[in-house]
Amino acid sequence: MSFLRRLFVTGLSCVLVITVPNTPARLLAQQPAPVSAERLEKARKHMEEGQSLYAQKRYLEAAQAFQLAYTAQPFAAFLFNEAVCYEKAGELDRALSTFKRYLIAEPNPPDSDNLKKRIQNLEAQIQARHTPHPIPTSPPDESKPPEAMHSLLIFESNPPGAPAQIWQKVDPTAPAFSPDGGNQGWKMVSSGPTPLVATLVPGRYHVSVERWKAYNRSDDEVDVATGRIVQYRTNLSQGEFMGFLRVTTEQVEGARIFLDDPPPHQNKPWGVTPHGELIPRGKHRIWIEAPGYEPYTEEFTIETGQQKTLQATLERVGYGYLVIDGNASAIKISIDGEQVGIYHPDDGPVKSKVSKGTHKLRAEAEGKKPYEGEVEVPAGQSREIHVVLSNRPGRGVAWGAAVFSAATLGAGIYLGLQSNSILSEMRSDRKAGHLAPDDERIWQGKIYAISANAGFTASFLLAGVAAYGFLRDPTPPSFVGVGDPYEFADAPPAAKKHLRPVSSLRLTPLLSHQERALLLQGAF
Amino acid sequence: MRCHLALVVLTALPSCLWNRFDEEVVNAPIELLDRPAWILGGYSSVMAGDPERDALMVGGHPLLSSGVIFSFSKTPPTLHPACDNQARCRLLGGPVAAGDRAGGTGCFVYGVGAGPTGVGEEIGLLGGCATGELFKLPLPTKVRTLFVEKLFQPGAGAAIFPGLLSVASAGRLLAAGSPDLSLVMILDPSKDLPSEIPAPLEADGSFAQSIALTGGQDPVLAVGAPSQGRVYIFDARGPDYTPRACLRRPGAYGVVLHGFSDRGKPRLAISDASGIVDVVDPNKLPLAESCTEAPKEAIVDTLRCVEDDKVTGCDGGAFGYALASADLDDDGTPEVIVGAPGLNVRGVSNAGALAIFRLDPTTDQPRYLFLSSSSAEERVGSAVAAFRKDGRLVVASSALDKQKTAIFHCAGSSPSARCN
Repeated sequence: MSFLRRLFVTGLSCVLVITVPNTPARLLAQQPAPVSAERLEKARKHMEEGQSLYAQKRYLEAAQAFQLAYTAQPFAAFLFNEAVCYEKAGELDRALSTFKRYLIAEPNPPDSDNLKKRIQNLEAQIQARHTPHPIPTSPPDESKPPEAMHSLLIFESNPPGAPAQIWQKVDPTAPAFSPDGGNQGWKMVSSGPTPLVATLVPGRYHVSVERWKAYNRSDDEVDVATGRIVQYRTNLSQGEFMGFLRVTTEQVEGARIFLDDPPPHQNKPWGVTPHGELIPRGKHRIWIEAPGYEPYTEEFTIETGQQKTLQATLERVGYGYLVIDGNASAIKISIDGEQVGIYHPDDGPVKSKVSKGTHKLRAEAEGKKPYEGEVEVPAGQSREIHVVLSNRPGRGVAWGAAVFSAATLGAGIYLGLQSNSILSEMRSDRKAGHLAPDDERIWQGKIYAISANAGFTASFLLAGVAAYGFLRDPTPPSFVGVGDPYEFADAPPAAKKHLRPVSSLRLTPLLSHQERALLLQGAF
Repeated sequence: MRCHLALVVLTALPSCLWNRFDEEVVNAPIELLDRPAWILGGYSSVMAGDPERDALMVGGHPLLSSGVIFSFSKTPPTLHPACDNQARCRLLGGPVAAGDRAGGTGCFVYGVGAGPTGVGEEIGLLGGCATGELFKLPLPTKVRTLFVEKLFQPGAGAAIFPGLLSVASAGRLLAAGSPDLSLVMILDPSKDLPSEIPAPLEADGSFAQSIALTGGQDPVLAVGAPSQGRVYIFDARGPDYTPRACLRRPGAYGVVLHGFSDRGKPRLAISDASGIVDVVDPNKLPLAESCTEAPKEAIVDTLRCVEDDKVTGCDGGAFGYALASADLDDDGTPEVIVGAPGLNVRGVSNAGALAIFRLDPTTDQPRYLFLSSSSAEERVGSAVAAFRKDGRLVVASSALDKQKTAIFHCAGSSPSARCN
């Protein structure tokens, strides 16, 4: 069970009180100021030291300790205590100036009348010291109990900003404080939004927070001892008409939640997942949106005091993005046979919205081997594709050999036909009865036949050379590096790119205006 | 287009087998006979064959070379020189087939003449057989005397080549003519001495440049005077050797004469310089009161050179430069073989050709066969002869450029491995 749930169910007001010895003093209200725990601890330490020195009647040292406490945390109560110490030590001038600083720090002290009289008295004593016949002043009455040092009450609430009041029980016989009013014998000594810091004299106090926003009223009583720093914190309980809604999403964190704010949303998000908060009871509708996911909406009803958890299952959108760059200029990028863009290094990657699933990717550039392969487009995510196109090998020799092969084939055919023609003539002559054994056409025909054979052989060899030239491919095939999928809103991951296809084991220098590297390819 | 290309490739691919050409000429239809070393030049300029025997005689340049007689009764063929002393043997007339003589078979008779000096050289009619025998035919005393006188005529010098320029045979009959002596002598085995036939008074000096004897029951002797455009016809058996008929045609006529018989009927083939060969029946010629063109009824056939897509150059093709005859198709009627050494065949210049005709006056130029060469300047048809080889009638002709004799094995109709 979470802390929030416990707080809601029990409606407890959790109070943390730290007390330190104090000096007799009236309650003094302070302006809310940020209270640093470290500085507060430091101030508390000096205040304890001052309180101890004051009890030992080492007033000047005590004044110095309070001065250090004020330096650590500028609460007006420290100035008051310092001034009292100076007064006790007979340092009237310093006592007067410190009281005046106290008044500046606390313009409306609850004991302002007494303080004004005290200042006047000090001024009179100082005046008498400078006259020829000083008015005799009574020495400090050592029989009096030491004057009480002022204490501090730091009144905090969760959440802060709640309207707070501090009431002092001025009449020991007064009945218990009633939130409904009519509290005779109780005097409000400080009020304001929490955190509220008040300089107090020792005594019983009632601290209260009015009903504020969706929070219930809070009331409590605190006994403040002399020379103490009291830190009071209350966790405000929610009102009984609220319900607690917690929204989570399984697939993604940080999805924006809109409560009763249909698209186009007019307000800031109610929160981002996971998020829980009190909302008024009744029927509501939430919209949950995250990049790469279909918007999710759900209507629900929450009852008073109910804690409701909505676990939304966001569905990925049915498309993704391919972010394609390459190692050459003017790479034509086609997906499933349709050109989606031309990559230029200066223009940045080609970003194409593609339906999720496997798609045929083709990349081609002038003078480069085209790449054709399949890429997996993640649903609702982007994927970087780095196209590495290898140089297309030259085919000049192959074409030359092919042309010569064709020429020699043509010559062979021609000579062969000539040879056949001669043979046909000879056969005709033989049939006609006038073919001689030394007929000149025998050698002629043989030469043609042998030449034809030479032509066919040369053609065959050249065709082989041409075929080898066409088929031989000294450069590696073009390939793509496929990055890991990443969310739409994210930057591309800096993870390693997985190179494929892996067809052979070779080291191939990649030289282009963009890249210079050694490519290791392997097949097993 | 792709199919066409594939077809072309498939068509061309068999050319890989270059030995196809060698296979093609194994047992080629033409067989070539190499020139013997003793024949100095012009081998196969003249030749004669015996259609009844396996014998062929081939000579070189007239008045420059001797000749060789082949016998094909054995394989390889045997060959014999036409003279004992080749240096003194300058073939001039003939040769002609002379049957079996002097104890030999497959004999030939040929005229020899004197060289520039005439000293120690033979003049007259010599004979040689395929079996190797050589013989000499007698010359009348008057002829011999005239030869000698002519040879040593003052001032004539080296320009004179007297001798028997033309020789003819028909069965046992032989005839030889000498334009130098303006006479023709005929050797009839039934008579003891050769008969002398003087040139008619109107004949010019070209008389006896060509002569022919026909076979048959009434053989005739034809003597050409080509410069005069005349052919004189005599009864070959005499006894009166006055012209029985006389044929004439403007221009050179009777340049080449060839006599043969068709089923016992005499036939004369007469070629002129314009490329026309007339085959006439001498028995249908009118009596020789005057010299006239052959009447239509006497013309058995007229053979002409015809150009087509393969044959060109009839004009100047020397159609009729050599004539022979044989029953190549074995139909009982001889075919006339006409040599045309100046023809261009399939674009080959002066390849020459043999055109073999069946004699059929009812149709126009029923050419039976056309034989040619694929080599330029071969001048096939400069000489032609028909003879038997391996029991088949074949035709031999010149292959001047190769200095060889070409035997056309497929001229006959008999089957042969050489004729597919």
